[in-house]
Amino acid sequence: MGAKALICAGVMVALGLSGCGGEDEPAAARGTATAEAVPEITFQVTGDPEETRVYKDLAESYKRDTGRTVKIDEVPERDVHLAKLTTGFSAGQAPEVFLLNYRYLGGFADKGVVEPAGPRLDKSNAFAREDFYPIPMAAFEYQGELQCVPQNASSLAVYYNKDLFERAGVAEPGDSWTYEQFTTAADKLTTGETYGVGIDLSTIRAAPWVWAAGGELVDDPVNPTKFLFDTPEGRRGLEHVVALRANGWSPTADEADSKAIDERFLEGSLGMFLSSRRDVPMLRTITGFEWDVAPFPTDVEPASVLHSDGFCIAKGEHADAAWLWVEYALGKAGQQVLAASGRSVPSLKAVAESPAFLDPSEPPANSKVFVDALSQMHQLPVTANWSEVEGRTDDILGELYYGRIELDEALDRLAKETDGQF
Amino acid sequence: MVLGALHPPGAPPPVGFELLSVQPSLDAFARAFELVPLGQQLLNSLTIVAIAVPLTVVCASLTGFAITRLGRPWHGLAVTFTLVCLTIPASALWVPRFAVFRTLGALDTYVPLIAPALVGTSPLLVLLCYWSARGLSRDLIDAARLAGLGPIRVWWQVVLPLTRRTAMAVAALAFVAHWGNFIEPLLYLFDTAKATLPIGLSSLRQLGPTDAPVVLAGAVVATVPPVLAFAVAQRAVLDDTRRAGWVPRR
Repeated sequence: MGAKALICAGVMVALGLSGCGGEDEPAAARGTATAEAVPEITFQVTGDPEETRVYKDLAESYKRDTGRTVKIDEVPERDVHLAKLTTGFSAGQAPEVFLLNYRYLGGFADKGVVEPAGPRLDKSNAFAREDFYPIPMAAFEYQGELQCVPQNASSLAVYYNKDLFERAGVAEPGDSWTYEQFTTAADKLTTGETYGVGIDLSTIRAAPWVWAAGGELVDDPVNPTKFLFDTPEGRRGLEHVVALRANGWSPTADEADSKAIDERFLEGSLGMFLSSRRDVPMLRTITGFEWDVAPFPTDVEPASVLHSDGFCIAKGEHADAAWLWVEYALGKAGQQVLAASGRSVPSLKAVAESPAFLDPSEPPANSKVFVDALSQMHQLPVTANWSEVEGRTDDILGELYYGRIELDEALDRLAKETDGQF
Repeated sequence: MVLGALHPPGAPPPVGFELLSVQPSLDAFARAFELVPLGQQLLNSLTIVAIAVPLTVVCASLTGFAITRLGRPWHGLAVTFTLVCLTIPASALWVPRFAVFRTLGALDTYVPLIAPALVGTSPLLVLLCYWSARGLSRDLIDAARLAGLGPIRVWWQVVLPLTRRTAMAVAALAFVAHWGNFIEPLLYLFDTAKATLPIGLSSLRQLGPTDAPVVLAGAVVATVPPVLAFAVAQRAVLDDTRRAGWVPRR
C-alpha cells in the first residue's frame, strides 16, 4: 500500500505542478469521423491477462468490422494504471481512451483532461441515455456533466458455499435476507474447520453497511466535507460489520494474511465471502462444491455499493476516433463479449437482462442479484481527492475490523485524517 | 518457487509440506506463456541489460576514477553531490524524465530505460567505484601518467584491471536494477510488444489464487538470468574484499 500510494502521490503532485498538457491540445471537432480519416488510437486498460485479452479480442473484431485500429495498452496494476495516466496527461501524451473507475474520475475531471461524454451520447445513433442504468450514469457525472460512459455496474454481493449451507442446516438466502439471517448463517457455518464469512474491509465495502443501517456515508454527496460514520446509523453499520470478526465468524488478521479469504472460499473452508462480480471467473474454476450468490443483507433498508468502470475519452484531436471505439465497445456486440467473460455486469439494460448475462447454466445461477441491486445501490462520492481519502480510510477500517483499535478511536482518527480533505 | 511452479494450475496454492508431494507438471509454464508473451519480454529485458550493464560499468568506473583525480575543493564537492543525488527519490524524476524524453522523441523506445546507465544507473554504484579507485596508490597512477598514458588509457590499463572485482560487483548490481525495473517501462513504453519481463510478471500476479502456479512459473523464468549473473559475479561479491581493491589509502 505504501509504495503504491507513493507512486500515485508522486505523479499526482507532479501533475499539479506541471499542469495538464491535454488542456493545450486543440478541442475536438464535433461530429462523426469518416472511416478513411479515422486515425489509430490507444486504449489504456488495467486488469489481469484474462481480462485484458477480452479487450484485445474486441479490438480485433473492431478492426475486422470497421477497418479501424485500436492499440490496447494494458497496465497490470490499478495504481500504476492511474500513475501512467497522470504522467501521460501531465506530459501531454495520454491515451485517447481509458477505462476508469468512477471513484478516481474526480482527480482527472477536475483537471479538465476528460472530454465530456454527455454531448456525444446525446447525439449518438447507437444508444441513448435511457439504455443505461441510471445509478452508474449518475456516478460518472462531474459537476453536472456526464464525463465517461459506464462499461459495467457491479455491486457488493455475498458468494456462498451451497454444500456448507446444506451441511449446517441453513436455508439458502434467496432473493433477499436480513442482517439477522446473515449472522445466523455465519454463526452456524463457523466450526472448528470452517469460518462463516470473510470480508476485506475497506471504504467501498464498509459503505453499504452504513447505507443498509439507514445512514449516509458523507454529509453532502456532491460536495462532501466529512464522513458520517459517527452518526447513530453510521456507528450501527460499522458495529454490524465489525461484529463479524469480533464474534469469531471470520478469519483473524494473521489468518487472513496467511491465506486470503478468496483462497479460503475456493478450498471450501469459508461459508460466505463478500465481493463484487469480478471474482466470478475465478469462482467458476471450483469443482469440489456448488456455490451461488446472494444479495447484500438488509438491515433497515436494502442497499449495496456501486462498482463501475467507464470508458473515458481524453481531450484531444483524436476524440472523434475515440468515440467511435467507445460506441463499438459499448454496443450490443461488444457488451455481449464482455458479459460472456463473466466478470462484469453490463451497464446496458438490454444486455444485463438478457441470457448473455443471466444464463443460469453458468454459475452463479442467481446472477439476477446483481441486476436487482442496480435499483437500490448507492455510489461513493466523486471528488478530486477521493483516491487519497479512501486510502487513509481503508487503513483505519482495516485496523478497526481486526480489533487493533476501538470504534471510538477509529472514528476520531477518521475525523482527524479526512475531515475537509475531500 | 520451482516446486510451486510445477503444480498444475486450477487449485488454490498449497501450503507447507504439500509442496513436496507435487506431481510435476509443466502446465503452469504453458499457461504463463499463453497468457503473456514471456519469451518476447525475456528477450526485451535481456536486450536492455546487455546494453545498460556494460555502459553502467564503464560510466560508473570512469566517474569514480575521475573523482579521485580532482583536487580540493572539487573532490569533496563531487563526493557530496553524489551522496545528495543518492537521497533523491526515484518517483520525483518520473515526470521530468517523461517530459525530457517526450521532447527528444524517445518515448516508446528503450532509450529512457538505458539512459540512466550513462550516469552509472545509481549514484551508489559511482560511489562504489570511487571508493575502490581511491584505494589504489596515487604513485602508481602518477607513474602511468609519466610513462605517457592518457587518462582514458590509465583507466583502461591500470585502474580497471586493479578494481576488476568491484567492477563485477557493480555489473551484478546494475543487472539487478535494470532487470527488476518495473515502473519505468510501464511509464515510458506504450507498445505491448516492447514490454519487459517485470511487466509480464506483474500481469500474471493479477490472476486469482487458483493461478498461483502460473505466477510462480513466470517467476522461475524471470529468476534464471539473475541467478546466472550472480553465479558469474559471486566471487567479486563474496571473496576477500581487500583483494578487490578495497584497501585503506596509505
